[in-house]
Amino acid sequence: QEVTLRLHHFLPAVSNVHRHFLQPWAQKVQQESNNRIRIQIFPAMQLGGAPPQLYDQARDGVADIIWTLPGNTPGRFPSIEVIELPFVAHKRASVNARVVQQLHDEVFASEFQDTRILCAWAHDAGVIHARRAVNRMEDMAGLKLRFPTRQAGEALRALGAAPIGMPIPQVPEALAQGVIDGAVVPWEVVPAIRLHETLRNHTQFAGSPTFYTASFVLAMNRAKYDALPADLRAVVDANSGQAAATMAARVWDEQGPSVETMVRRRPNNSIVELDEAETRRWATATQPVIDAWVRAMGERNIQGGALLERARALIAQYGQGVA
Amino acid sequence: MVARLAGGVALLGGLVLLAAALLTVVSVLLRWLTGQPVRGDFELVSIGAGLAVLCTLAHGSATRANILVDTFTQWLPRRATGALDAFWTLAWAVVLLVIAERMAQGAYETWANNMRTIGLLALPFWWAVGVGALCFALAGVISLVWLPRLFRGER
Amino acid sequence: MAPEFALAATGFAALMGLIVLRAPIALALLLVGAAGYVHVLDAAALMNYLKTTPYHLFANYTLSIIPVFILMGALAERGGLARDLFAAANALLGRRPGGLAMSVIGASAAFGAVCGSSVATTATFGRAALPELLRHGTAPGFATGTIAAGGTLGILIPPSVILVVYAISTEQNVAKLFMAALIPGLLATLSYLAVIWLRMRLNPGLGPPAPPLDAAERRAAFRRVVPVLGIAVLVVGGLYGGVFTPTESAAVGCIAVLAVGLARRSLPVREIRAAILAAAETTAMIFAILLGAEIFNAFLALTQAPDLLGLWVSEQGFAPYAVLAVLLLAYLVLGAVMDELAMILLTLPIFFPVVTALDFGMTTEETAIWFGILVLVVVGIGLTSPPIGLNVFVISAIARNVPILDTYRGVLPYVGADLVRLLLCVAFPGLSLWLVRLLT
Ligand code: NA
Ligand code: NA
Repeated sequence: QEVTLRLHHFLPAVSNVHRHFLQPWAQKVQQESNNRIRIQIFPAMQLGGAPPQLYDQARDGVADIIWTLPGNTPGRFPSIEVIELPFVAHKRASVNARVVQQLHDEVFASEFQDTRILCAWAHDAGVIHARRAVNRMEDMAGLKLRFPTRQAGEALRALGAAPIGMPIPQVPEALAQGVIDGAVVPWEVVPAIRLHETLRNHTQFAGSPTFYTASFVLAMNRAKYDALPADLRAVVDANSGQAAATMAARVWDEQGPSVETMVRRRPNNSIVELDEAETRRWATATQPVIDAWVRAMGERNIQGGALLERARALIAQYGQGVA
Repeated sequence: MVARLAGGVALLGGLVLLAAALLTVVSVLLRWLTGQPVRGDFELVSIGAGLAVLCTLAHGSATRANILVDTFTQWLPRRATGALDAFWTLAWAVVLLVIAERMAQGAYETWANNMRTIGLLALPFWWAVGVGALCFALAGVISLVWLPRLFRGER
Repeated sequence: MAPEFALAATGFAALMGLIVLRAPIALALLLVGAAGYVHVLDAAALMNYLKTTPYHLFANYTLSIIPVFILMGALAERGGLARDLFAAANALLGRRPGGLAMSVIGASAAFGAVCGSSVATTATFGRAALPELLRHGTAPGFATGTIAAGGTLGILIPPSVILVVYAISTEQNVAKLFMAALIPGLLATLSYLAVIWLRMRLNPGLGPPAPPLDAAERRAAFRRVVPVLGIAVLVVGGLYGGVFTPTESAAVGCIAVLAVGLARRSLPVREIRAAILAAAETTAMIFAILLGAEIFNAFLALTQAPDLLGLWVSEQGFAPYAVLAVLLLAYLVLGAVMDELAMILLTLPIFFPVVTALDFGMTTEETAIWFGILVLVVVGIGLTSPPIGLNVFVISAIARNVPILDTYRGVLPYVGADLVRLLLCVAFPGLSLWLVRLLT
């Protein structure tokens, strides 16, 4: 018996995630199933709809598998936001991925129960890329920055910036027209949107916890998953959970540093790393964002405080010795 | 009567569109003067323009504003083309009503899933999907109203 | 033939069949797209797909530019701005042979800077200028043909709804496409003026000059046109200068047109209502087609035919310009018999990967922008070429006593100029790309 699975996502086919995670992952599944599972990847929303609809497309069987950011549907998956809070995440995607996957399995799988989550993860340290240098917190005042998730947006507000929410593909156009002065994104996506050519100043943070990260899920239609014959389901399972999350995280951990090196070599680009004392000031300034989140979780009967503690404990545990 | 309702809805949509345009202008001015745009302008303009477009659909049905190619059927007698037009109008009405029913379901799920816009305002938008369902339904009903007139060969 | 292609080809054949049978184009797209979707997936998937797709399509920030540009054009027409432009162009060009026709072209070009639609531009000058032309003895077919050709300047001069749709379906930068369109648009204007000049040399009786104006009348005409020219400069300049995004420039232009109309008391509530209703008709028509194309294109993507065709063409090692010539020829044929918006929405998923896979000695983005301008030129030709030239239909609906064949005959020399411009734009990509390179 053969099965064709359609995988739908929002980035173009040239993106790192498409080439270095989704394609190899699909090939691996295909090979391990002796070609009985075929995975067709549809990049750039080819099957129609807008990125916020991706999760429902998997739930409803419009696509069989989707890759999305829970941040595309703010408020719908509240618990996973814990990793997106300011100065919670580790600077390496490998650590964040293990934590998010484990928290999903332990705590908030029920929020995603209308699909089969193949894996959940988060990227490495987010970096501030801006037209003018950001050497200290005061430099953030009035800076129009594109934000990736609601929590990162709130953090930027708390720091005095003017955050603007938009999907990644719109960033180059918005920069060219002066709608934004910069964007916060991890290094991995910089070449895809040519940020190193349009923005010269890059600000990152000393050590961990880092400023922010964004979470991702690879979700599969539940009925399609349940209908797989046992041996094929075993192949999918073997390529799910921690194994898949780790494989995904590698894209950011491997591409990130090489992009950083490339940018560092460019004569006009400068990379600033904020020291520990300055980073602590930022963390203090964004603490109200965390408090507000915990309060909002309380209103939805979610133990935000406990979840945050668990997340921090796991990050400390898995992050030990990871530079 | 229904056609006048459609015109009213389209006018309402036009006002919403003008409001969205005005909001954009204010946001541009504020950004220029203070460095801070209107909070959530991106989300508000998206919803406003979306509602405005949805509000035009019924008026489009009422004025039969659709592009069709009549070059190949010009030799047919008037009654035959009238019947063809009536058939397509019926099909169009069915499509619109099906989409209306689907969007009503979509509005319910958007509400049940607590879906909100991406951005700082994180506005719930189930109600806008619901308005869309109503607009499609009205457009479908208006197409049905056209049917008897088309069968009589009126255009 | 691979099954992917067979399925896609069946879809296209069914679509053409329904269109020949008088199905509205939006409906034909929807029905065939839905049937294909159900064939590849299943009915439940289609029913789920329809739950929120129309909403997310319509409430898309980038697409919001389209209704705003359409409303701006409608308000400009109802507020008398088109008439002012025509009067000023007349004061400038009217006294020479064919002056009234030249004024239509000049005014249409200026109106094109505040209106994004060719149909709206044609209709506007059909009402604002045609009676004037006929009253002063311009040959009827020459007059209507000139207005139909001038109407294409509504999209050839940025802003342009067609370019917005191109930008969205190919993920290109709208502002850069608008920049790229400017020089070819001005070239179109000049070539249309040259066509009139040439025709006057051959047959002066076609278009007598306008009655002479005295100096005071001329000054008054120029003075009245200042606001609309100011708006055009604000919209286009702000966009090119990087002050506004395209969406913002549309909003600023729309509000400015409204403000000028209110300040001059040329836009009473009655006219605003009429403008909103006229804009609503066009908007409903365009978005119905966009929705149909969304579903048809989802079906096309499901067949995987577009990607496979792009791959196949790039593996064959065809000469890039030969492929380009085939595509443009296909567009000329399709444009003659089809609605232009539906044409580009349908073909781009297939043609665009093919074009960007070819090596024309420039970056992929530049190739994409250049191709966008070429598509715009062929769309302009399609709008005026028989048997289905939308602009000709529009002007014929206004000038009911001018036979449509006369209008086609009148428009033909302009189509000739269009073909020359198409060749120039193909041969010299710099015509499209120079300004983009300069400004970014
Ligand atoms: Na234009
Ligand atoms: Na045509």
